[in-house]
Amino acid sequence: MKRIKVKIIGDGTQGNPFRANLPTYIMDTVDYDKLEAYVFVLDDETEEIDGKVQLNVKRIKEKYPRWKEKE
Amino acid sequence: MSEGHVQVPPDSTGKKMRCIQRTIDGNNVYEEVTVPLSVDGAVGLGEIYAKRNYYDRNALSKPQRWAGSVSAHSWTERWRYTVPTGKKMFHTFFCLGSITAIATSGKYTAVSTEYYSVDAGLVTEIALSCHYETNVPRKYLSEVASVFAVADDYFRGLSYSDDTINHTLVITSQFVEFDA
Repeated sequence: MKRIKVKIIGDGTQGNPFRANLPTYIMDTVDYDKLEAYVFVLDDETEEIDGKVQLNVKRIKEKYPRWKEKE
Repeated sequence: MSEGHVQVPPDSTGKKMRCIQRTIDGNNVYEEVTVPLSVDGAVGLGEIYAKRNYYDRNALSKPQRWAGSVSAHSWTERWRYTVPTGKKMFHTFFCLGSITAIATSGKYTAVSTEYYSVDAGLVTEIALSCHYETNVPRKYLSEVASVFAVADDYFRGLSYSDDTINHTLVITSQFVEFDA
């Protein structure tokens, strides 16, 4: 798995918890003030561009056609 | 409807047809063998129906586990697992652990796992467990929760705490993903 930083969404209620907008991930650390989190995602759902690991949005959309990049 | 037979010319030297021989009304007759195929004509239906068990279809273990020592926090999703397209998933068990210290009176900490069944856009939520603590230290809950899920279905583990002291929480679930 790869560790990346993402924005978190939600308002912290049980029905709308703080979360990453990703189909599959494990949260590592959360910064509730900055609304950011470090999360672990599957290797094939990331790509390395210019030495930086980031989400492979195309691959994620292939695996999870219902996933929306902007929620 | 009665059975009968027609007689073909004597054996020739052309291509051979596959057939089965049996006796009807005292006559040796030959029945033509037909092979049902899939739509693309590539595979016999017999092979399709003889589908292998899920654990023989590229089954991969996909555990989701989060653990941390945390202070008070709003409801937070600690992990999510979604069944990818072309796959199915067998969920075997989940484990929730919480509270390594006695909670402050009137405060509580919670861990929860939820299963969402997605059928043609209709999402049905099924809470697998919710574990609240007030004053009992070090308590764990482990349960077998057998669920077969299809593509788009998803699971998630969450936590919450309004306590004034830190608690170590664990939310684990075990998934086996295999070819649909």
